[in-house]
Amino acid sequence: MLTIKEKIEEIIAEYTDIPPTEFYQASSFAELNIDSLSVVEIIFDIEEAFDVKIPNEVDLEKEGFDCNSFVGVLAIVTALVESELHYD
Amino acid sequence: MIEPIVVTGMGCISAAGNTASEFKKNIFSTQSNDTIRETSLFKTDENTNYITAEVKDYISEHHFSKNELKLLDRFAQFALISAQEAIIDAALDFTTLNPQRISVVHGSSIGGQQTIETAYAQLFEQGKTRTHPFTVPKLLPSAATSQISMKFGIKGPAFSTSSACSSSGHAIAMAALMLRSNLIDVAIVGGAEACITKGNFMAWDGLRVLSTDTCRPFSLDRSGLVIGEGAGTLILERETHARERGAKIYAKLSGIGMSSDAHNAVQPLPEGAEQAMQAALDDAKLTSLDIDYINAHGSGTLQNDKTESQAINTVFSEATIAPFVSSTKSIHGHMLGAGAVVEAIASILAIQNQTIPPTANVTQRDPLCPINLVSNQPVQAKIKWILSNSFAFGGLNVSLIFEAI
Repeated sequence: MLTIKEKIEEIIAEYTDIPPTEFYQASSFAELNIDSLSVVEIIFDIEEAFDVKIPNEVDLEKEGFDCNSFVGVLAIVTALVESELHYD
Repeated sequence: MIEPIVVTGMGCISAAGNTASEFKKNIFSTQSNDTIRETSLFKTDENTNYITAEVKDYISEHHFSKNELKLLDRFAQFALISAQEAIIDAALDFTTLNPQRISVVHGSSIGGQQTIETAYAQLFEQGKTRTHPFTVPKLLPSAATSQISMKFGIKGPAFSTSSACSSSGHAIAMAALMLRSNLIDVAIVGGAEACITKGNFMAWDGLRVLSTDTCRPFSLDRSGLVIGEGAGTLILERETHARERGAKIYAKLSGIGMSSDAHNAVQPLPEGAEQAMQAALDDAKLTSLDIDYINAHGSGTLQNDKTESQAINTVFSEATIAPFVSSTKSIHGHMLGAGAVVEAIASILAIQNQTIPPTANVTQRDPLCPINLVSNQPVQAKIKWILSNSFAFGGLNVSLIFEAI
């Protein structure tokens, strides 16, 4: 079974030619040549894969999360899976 | 004096062929055709005859990349295919044209029906709590217009028209008005529909207007319309613009007529049809004596064909020789919002070939439709002016007149 990180890498790899080993260094999806429309799709794919609902950006920011980078998304999904992040 | 508008490019995809040249072969065919048959697009059951006019041998991956397809409902795919064919046919060179002086007006009756039904099935049947994030940009009836504009970098007026089965007729009319008023130089106009889905089919079936065998407009034994799918696109420009850039010219768009029945949600009114035809004649400065051929709306429903025949007889009562009439819907089906443009293409091909495409599948003429019907075999004739009718549910009518160059 894949870890959370591996599963997210697998999803994001569908949207960029940059290898997953470089995902960590990128401060945004844009740096991975992923446009905003694809980010919306990536979030949908992640929600489907982990059966979670990623809150909207404003709520995420309040909690100190961002969903515009690999590191940010990994933190959100980890928190959601471990039920640390609550939303209505 | 209003400068003539001309057609310089054509493209279409339908049950009658995946290109305009295949379409031409099929509408003038002397053989019986198999364009209308049991659908392969959704699962059928024993109790209903699911007869449709679907696009044949269509593999979307042959036309679009995986990434492109993510944002393209089937109707927008058809729109792009027909637009590309028309643009190539017209030899439009976008590097020499001002993109802000080019318009896209593409109509659709329904829009992304397949996308809607997929999303609803996920939510209401499969217990999902979310739909794909591209559901909205795919289902918008204006999606096809946007996709054409994006693909070819068209930056002038771009919008969709929606008037059920007259949608692309209104698109052509709106573009003609923009060309006449010198708002634009070139218009990419047409319509697209991909409405052969179970939900849409059953909705139409509920109105009791669908045929159970085939489409036989004006035939005594007609049993209703056959839903078709596909798209058509025309390139329109002012004649001087076309001549200056050395474009080949298919025909003139000499008259546009529009009317509304203001009567009933589904039942047509002869007066509305008459007013649209008369308005087109007036716009073209013609009389009823001038029209050689009428490409009828001819949906194949009991009501339309009777009402349209009555309207034709009223408008053309003074014609010493009754104009020929046929309905090519018997071959390409009722393409809803794409119908008017595809029938405009049939009309222009009729002018080009000086041949009238027949109404297929006629077994016996209906005495309640006393028109000069061309049935089953094409007829050669001298054709200068053609009137093409589109009448929609809710009484929204468009008549267009095309003229030989």
